[in-house]
Amino acid sequence: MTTDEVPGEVREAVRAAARMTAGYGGRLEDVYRRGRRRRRRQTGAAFAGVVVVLLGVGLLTVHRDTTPTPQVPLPTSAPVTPSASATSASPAPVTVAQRLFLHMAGGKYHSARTELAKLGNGLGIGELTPDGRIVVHEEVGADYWDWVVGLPDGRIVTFGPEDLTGTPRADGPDVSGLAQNLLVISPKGKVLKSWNVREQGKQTGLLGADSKNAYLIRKSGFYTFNLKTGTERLVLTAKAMGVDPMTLGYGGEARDDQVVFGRNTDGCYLRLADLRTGKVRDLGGVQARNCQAVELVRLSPDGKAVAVAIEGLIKIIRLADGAELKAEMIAGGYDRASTISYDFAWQDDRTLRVVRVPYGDETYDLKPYTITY
Amino acid sequence: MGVRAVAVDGEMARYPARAAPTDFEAFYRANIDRVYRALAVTLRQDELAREAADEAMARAYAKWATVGHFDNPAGWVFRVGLNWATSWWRKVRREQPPVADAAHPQVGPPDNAVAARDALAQLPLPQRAVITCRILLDLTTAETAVALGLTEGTVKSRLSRGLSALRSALKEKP
Repeated sequence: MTTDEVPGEVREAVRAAARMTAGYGGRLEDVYRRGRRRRRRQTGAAFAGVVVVLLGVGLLTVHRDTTPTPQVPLPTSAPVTPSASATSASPAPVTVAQRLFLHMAGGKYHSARTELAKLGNGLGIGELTPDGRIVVHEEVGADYWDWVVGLPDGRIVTFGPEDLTGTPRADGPDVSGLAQNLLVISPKGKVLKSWNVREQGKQTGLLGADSKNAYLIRKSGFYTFNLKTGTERLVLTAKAMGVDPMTLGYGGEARDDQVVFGRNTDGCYLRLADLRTGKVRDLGGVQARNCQAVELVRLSPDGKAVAVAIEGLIKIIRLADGAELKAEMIAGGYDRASTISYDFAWQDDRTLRVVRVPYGDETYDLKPYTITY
Repeated sequence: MGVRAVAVDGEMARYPARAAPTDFEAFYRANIDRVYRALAVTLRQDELAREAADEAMARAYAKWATVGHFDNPAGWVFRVGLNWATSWWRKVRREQPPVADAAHPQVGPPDNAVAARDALAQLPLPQRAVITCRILLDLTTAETAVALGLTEGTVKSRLSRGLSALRSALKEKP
């Protein structure tokens, strides 16, 4: 017998030992859910539990060669065919403060005014409008959109990878021919601007955007990216933040140089950083034991409060003193192992619009509700 | 079939590649149970193995365009799950000591299964990993080396030592 032959009796014994194990009991839907989350985390947008509020002007300016690039033909992929009953890429003018995107949706959905919309898995990103329609946004300009920020004027700022060779590959230090595209999309779904913001072999993420800037995270810190000039500016170093930026949660809300986002280490925490003073302080009210991640963060329109989702628990926190203004579980309950996600956005300064988003093989009814403090 | 050098999850590796990936769902359904059981035997914790299998499959799904081209994606999933579980384990073990026998409920198994299980439990994790790859995942020595990021010589050495211990344990069973 050679050194790599396994005797039959040993083989059978080991297999019998393995059969003693209780059955797997898991579900494919859970794998899909974790996979979608991982996909987003891998572009530097991990969910987290430390919320950092960045205020004030930038500390350093870094000029990059970020000339807007001509739109690059996309790799061959299946065309997006939106459902005949879903509206494609022409949302009605919004009257609420923030737009509500269904970031984790995957499957078939209907709502008060949309009979059927197919979302996710390359079919497009859904937006639930205030009047109950589901708008399907085709993920143009990249292989997929890793995060979406809807501007009040109907444009979208988004971020996603693009393999320029036409074959999707994983990034790495020696991998060329990949782009990380920061995109501005028109209300009708056309790419208005596109910048390749990739640093080869390094992760980048989008935390938020407003009409002036996109907000990027890199290993070195937190950056504003001017959407007119393409100039990138380091506004807070990783050292000053005291955390690895690549573990920071995206889904941040950014407005007028003010950004809120989440981070998680050994539980979920809120922290605030003032760029003008460079001080970072903890903000209570969100910390949860045995918490894995803060899953969503949205700053209120008036900048006085932040809505935070922690594994199904939605909290509204006053930024001035960290006081908890509201806390309630998402309607319908939540189970980490379940195939449920949720999204929310502020309807006005005091009202949060929340929607529970199941995913799987069925057709799901999207029924938004509100939380007011 | 070719060999491609790819960076997946931060690891540079040379994985034999097939021409076209199979559908992920088909791969999942064909392999999840055996990968899970291989992890359960290696980790000796069923719940941890389940989490590790789910996490590794999720990573495979997220990168299926690459992983699906590997000649042995199941081996890759096993390794990713094993790495994830051991790093998680190291992080939380101060609060939650690993559960040993309680994780393996007995339902009238054959005597040699109990002896094998107990013997496997005594092996160092690296040897258990090689044995599960070779026996439970049916990987060759070369495939095991690729899956675990080892040289073939190391695989043979760990297998030899592990098998020696298992043979002794099976001979000594009451």
